[in-house]
Amino acid sequence: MIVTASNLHKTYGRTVAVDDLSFQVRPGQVTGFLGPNGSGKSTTLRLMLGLDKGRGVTLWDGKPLALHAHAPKVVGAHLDAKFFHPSRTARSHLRMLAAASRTRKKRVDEVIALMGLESVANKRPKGFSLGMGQRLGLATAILAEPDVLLLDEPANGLDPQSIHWLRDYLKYYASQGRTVLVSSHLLSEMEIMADHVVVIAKGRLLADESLVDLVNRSTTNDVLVRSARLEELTAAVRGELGHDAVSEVPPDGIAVSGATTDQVGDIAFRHGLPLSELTKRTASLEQAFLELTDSGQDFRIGGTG
Amino acid sequence: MMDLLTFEWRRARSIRTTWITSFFVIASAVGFAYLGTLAFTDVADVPVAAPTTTILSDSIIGNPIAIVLLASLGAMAFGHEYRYGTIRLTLTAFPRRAGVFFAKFTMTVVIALVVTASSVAAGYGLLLLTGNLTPGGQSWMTMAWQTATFALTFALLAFGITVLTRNHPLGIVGPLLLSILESALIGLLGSRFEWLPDVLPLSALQSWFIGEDVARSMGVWGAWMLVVLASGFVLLKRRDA
Repeated sequence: MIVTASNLHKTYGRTVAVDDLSFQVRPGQVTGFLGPNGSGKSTTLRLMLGLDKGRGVTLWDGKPLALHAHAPKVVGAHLDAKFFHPSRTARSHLRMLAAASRTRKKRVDEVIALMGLESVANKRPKGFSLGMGQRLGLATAILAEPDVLLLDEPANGLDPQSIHWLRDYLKYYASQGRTVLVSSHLLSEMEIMADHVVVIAKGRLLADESLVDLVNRSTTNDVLVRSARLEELTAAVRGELGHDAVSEVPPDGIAVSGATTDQVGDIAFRHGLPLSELTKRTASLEQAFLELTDSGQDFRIGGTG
Repeated sequence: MMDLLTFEWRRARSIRTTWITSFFVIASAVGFAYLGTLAFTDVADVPVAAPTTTILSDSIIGNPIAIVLLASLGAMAFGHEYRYGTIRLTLTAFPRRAGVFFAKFTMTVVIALVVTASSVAAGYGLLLLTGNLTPGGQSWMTMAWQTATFALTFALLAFGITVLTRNHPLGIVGPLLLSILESALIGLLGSRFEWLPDVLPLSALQSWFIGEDVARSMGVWGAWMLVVLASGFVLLKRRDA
């Protein structure tokens, strides 16, 4: 199922939380939804689900969610790890939601087992840890086996094994031809999990492309070169690729951007310069994300004042 | 709509508070029915047997504990949902908010009526067991519709106040505060503004029950209920969940 968000817009007083945001989430892949704190990710997810009132429309396979006969079969959402009644047992919570989606009782037991909640299924969740609350929230989202999963920071509070399981599960879920949109701050996780990314800042769209494309166009993709005759090497590379292509990497190296290792090696060879290292450096999602959001973040920490 | 009603029923019955509150409505009604067998005296202060329908009617209408607990049942429909954030799960599963409102309204009406009927039946059982059944007084039909209307008034006022304010505790005490406020207003200003009791909801309900200007009283009561419920409905439709 293709999910198309068009011109989503939301203001709180004079603050624009989501600013004319449009993007598409496609089936068969995990789409990461990234942005700095306060960038409008959660608000966007709520707008998509019709929970928040704003402008714009989200179409689920071409129709607004309210026009689908059984919304729980269309989308399963997990927006917060604490959305449960503290005195309703985990099993009752899931059975109640199963009634909303005409899901069979057996499925409730299946998701309880899948999420490792057997030992607490008949307990009241008021004492649940954050991680346990996340598991219950995820169980809620996948209960009706919906075509689309919408998850807001689902890995928060999960232990490493659970995060690993979540990553594999979401990739498996998407591989079944379903649509998965996950917002997360854990960029290293996203780098492994996501096939496609939507990046926003200040409620505006910064990128909507494959993870590979986003990382490849980062300026931190460069070639690291070390040589005993660094000054001559620097002059030779600048002479052929331009002054701005080279930056110093102390004590004895330079970084060359916009060139391949073959090109840099060829320049050194033609000038008779010996090399002690020639390495292609690829940007991480984190580097690409920081570059992209650098100008869009209001709440940066660690500034120089 | 059946999915929504099933969901609402599961939601209501899966928390202990619903059962505990319902039990205490019934227990308090039985207690007040017992007190009713002791409370009536004639002009010479000699105890007399009060009519069964009067005792049963008073066990709900004259029972402040039942008022608060019935309001609590009404407030639960939206109160718990907003308090614990589960309204977002509900509105994701059922994006048509009008349907959610009417399902919760229907379930509140059904629960309030069943609990009230059970309370009256339990009170009747007590009178039967203690040999205190006494004929006379208002008809059974009058007793039935008056206690039902009274119970629905408080449950639905609480329901409406909770949707309007999203505040569960205020939904519970709101109807009781309204009844205290009405009494205070009439006590303070009633002699100066004689029309005041005619335009307040619970006074209108009382006038309706005693058969005083029935059409007007029903209209005033109905208009207040409609305003509270319709305002809640509009806000539910328009506000962020």
